[in-house]
Amino acid sequence: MAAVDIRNVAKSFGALSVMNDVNLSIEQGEFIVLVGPSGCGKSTLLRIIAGLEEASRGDIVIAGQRVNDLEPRERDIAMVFQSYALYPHMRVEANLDFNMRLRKRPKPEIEASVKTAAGVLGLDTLLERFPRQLSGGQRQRVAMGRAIVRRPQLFLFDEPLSNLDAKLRVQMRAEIRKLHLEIGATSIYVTHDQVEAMTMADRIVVMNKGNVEQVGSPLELYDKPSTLFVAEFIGSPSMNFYRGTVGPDCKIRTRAGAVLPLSPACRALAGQEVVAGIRPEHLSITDEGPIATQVVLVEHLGPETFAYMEGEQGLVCVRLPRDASPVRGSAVRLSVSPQDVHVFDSETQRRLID
Amino acid sequence: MGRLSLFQRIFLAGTLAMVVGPFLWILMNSFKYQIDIYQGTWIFEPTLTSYMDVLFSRRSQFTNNLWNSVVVASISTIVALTLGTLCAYSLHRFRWSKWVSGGILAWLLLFHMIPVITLVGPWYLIFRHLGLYDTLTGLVLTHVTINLPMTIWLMMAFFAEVPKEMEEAAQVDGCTRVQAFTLVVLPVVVPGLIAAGVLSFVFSWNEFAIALNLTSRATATVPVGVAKFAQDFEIQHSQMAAASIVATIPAILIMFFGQRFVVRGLTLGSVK
Amino acid sequence: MRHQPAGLIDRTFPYWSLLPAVVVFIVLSLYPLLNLLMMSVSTYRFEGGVEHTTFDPMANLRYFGEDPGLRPAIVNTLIFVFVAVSLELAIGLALAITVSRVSRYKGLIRTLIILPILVPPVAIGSMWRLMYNYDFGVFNQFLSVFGLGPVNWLGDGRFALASVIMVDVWHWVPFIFLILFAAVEGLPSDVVEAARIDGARQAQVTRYIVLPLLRPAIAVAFTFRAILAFKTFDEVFLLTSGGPGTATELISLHLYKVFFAQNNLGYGAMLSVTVILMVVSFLLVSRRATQGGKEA
Repeated sequence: MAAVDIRNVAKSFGALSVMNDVNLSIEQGEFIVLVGPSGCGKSTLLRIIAGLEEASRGDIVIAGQRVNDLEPRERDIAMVFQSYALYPHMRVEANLDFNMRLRKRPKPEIEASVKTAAGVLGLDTLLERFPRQLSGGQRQRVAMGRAIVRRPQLFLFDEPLSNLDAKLRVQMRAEIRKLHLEIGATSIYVTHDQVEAMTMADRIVVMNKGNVEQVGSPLELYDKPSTLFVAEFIGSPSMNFYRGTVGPDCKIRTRAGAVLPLSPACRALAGQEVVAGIRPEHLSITDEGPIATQVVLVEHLGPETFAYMEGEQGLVCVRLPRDASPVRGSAVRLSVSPQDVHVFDSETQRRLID
Repeated sequence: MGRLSLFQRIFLAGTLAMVVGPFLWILMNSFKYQIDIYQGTWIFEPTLTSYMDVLFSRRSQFTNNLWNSVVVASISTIVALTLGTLCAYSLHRFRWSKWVSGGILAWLLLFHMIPVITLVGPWYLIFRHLGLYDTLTGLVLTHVTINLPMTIWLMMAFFAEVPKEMEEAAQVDGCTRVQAFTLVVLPVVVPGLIAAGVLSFVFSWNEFAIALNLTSRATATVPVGVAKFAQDFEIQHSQMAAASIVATIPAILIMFFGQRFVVRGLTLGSVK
Repeated sequence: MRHQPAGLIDRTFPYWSLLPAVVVFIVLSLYPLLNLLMMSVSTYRFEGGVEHTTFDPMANLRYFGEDPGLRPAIVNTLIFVFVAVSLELAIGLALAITVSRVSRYKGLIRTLIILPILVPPVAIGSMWRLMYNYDFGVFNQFLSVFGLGPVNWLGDGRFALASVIMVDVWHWVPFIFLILFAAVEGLPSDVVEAARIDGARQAQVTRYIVLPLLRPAIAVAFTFRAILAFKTFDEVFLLTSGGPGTATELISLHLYKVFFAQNNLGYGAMLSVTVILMVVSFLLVSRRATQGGKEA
């Protein structure tokens, strides 16, 4: 277990820069999730931490030691790969204890560790099999087992669940989380799935185009996205956005004429071009709401219902109670309370008020 | 897929007959006395005389040829496989500058196009200088050279099939570069090693033009021995047939063992 | 629980893994080739174990005009490569598609068909020499059943080259078959199924789906085979040694004679360089042609 410090790490291939000065402090025992769309640099960052790729600039510090010049094998890390990368010519047991055999640990110690890990992951009956004889879920467990057998300072996960089907993914998500609570080892987890990020992370790092957009706990990101990108990326269905100008009366006038209320703190913003964001659950159907729409689609999910409405600024998603059943094609007005409107600068895309 | 039309059936049957027929005819003739061959009889009393003559007569060098071929083919295969696999891995895995990797690969291609016979002359001169003319060592070296391009291409195709993540997992697991290669990558490409090994061996076993010119009586290999039966002043037809059969057996045995690996290797090579 | 830092062997792994093969190439292929270039501009003779070398490029050039075997050798080689390779491609392709549609014994059929590649070319030469024999060969026996022949397959200048091409076809159709069969088997089955659902008959599937998808594999098979065809030496050496006269003299046989029978190393080297340039330029042209086709 160790704290990890990422200091001014940047990566470029020739003139093409894929990551710009990333700074991140990870505490001992923390579960950090790096999330972002593909190509945002999250995997590159993870691979730099692992030592599989070199940073063009900056330092990686693990447990107080600068590890830039260490080979991956010298960093005392374990990594779970998206494709699992099990060794096809070795039985499950040999896959699990490969690291300990390489380090020439005494036999009883190896056996004990394998036994513990196999027990934790329910692999006891599979030890004699070859990877090709396992199902996808079992392979995933072996990949996890290979990481925990050796008790490394740091766990790295590179989209470990994306090759599983939806049901198994939800189950393994909980299991990895539980495992982390038991072992308590520092973990860095890369995913493109914001639900995975929200459910697993102590803290989430949202990345976009090689930059860190925001770092924070899942609820911090949800409640106070610091950029337009984070606001759009976190939450499903996504936030609804309106472009408009802040008037002196603390209201936003959208181009199509709707008038959205803002909290009094926005008085300073008068005259500014902004983007207003409203989550589906903060919109409600009222007779004199400022947003005029027409119902196009209703999705009943069981616990809740989402309705999609065509408004002046495109499609709007509204969360409704489970029994709500607006008629398709009917005209509906939506309203929102001032404290639920997120305001972003349309130029810099940054959050304007807290 | 669908069923064969009558035309396709005839075509297939005819092809199979054309392929297998000559083997059977030669096999038949190898069991004949010379006189039966001359008369072209189809019904005859089988005899092993030709085989005895080829393998055990005092005039015949064939057992010696066989031994030389076994030595040359085995050693050149092992050496070509070792050097070729290492070279292919290095080119595949490590970031060589374009000049190095591109230069090597371009040279392999060019070298592969050059008719072997054009190089026999220079080899002859070099080996005379080095004292390797008319030695098995010299022959092994030439066969290694000829087999390297194919080995390198084939192994590069197989290395490219190994997921990069597997090697990275090995590195994270504590392997040095050499260990990642020997403990993880190499076991995974065993099919490739077999394919390249089989092709190398068969090639070396069959190679004639170099052996003809760089060996003499004591160092001659099987193909040179076979040719000898056809070249002597009095052509020994029955021995020629028997020697051809004996010369063919090892390659066929090895291919039976390695066929599916070779097929896979050719697929990897040609589909890309 | 730190690991040892990487040792010297590990740090230099990229280099020592590459080096041996490179050394072999430099010593046994690059150097000989440069040697060949040197020789081609020198007169170079062995007399009593002593070499006599003189720089004299014109001498070897003059041989080009004086060499009566050169023209037939080049013409024969071009005919041989063109006819043999075309036949092999056509038959091999038809065979690959046919066998892929066989439902039973597919593996056995494949194994039988590829047998000829495994036979030492020299043995192929001697086998076919027996079969072509004027007095008792199986072909003349076969003809005599119909009251025809006998034909002097290898001894008659009218038939000799065709007979040699026939042997080459027998030898190498399996090679083309093997590459194309693997390619046919590797075709995505869903594409073929989609075409059949779209209403294509088997012949149409072949014409509009299979053949276009096989193009890259056909190009590879053609290139490989053409390279090998230019090098053909062993079988022909055994069958005819280039005879009768120059009827089956191929460029490789001619080279061999110049080098080792006439001992004319300088001219032999110049001829070798010419052959290399021929092969390389042929391949560059054919590659341009196949790639140009791809874009169209």
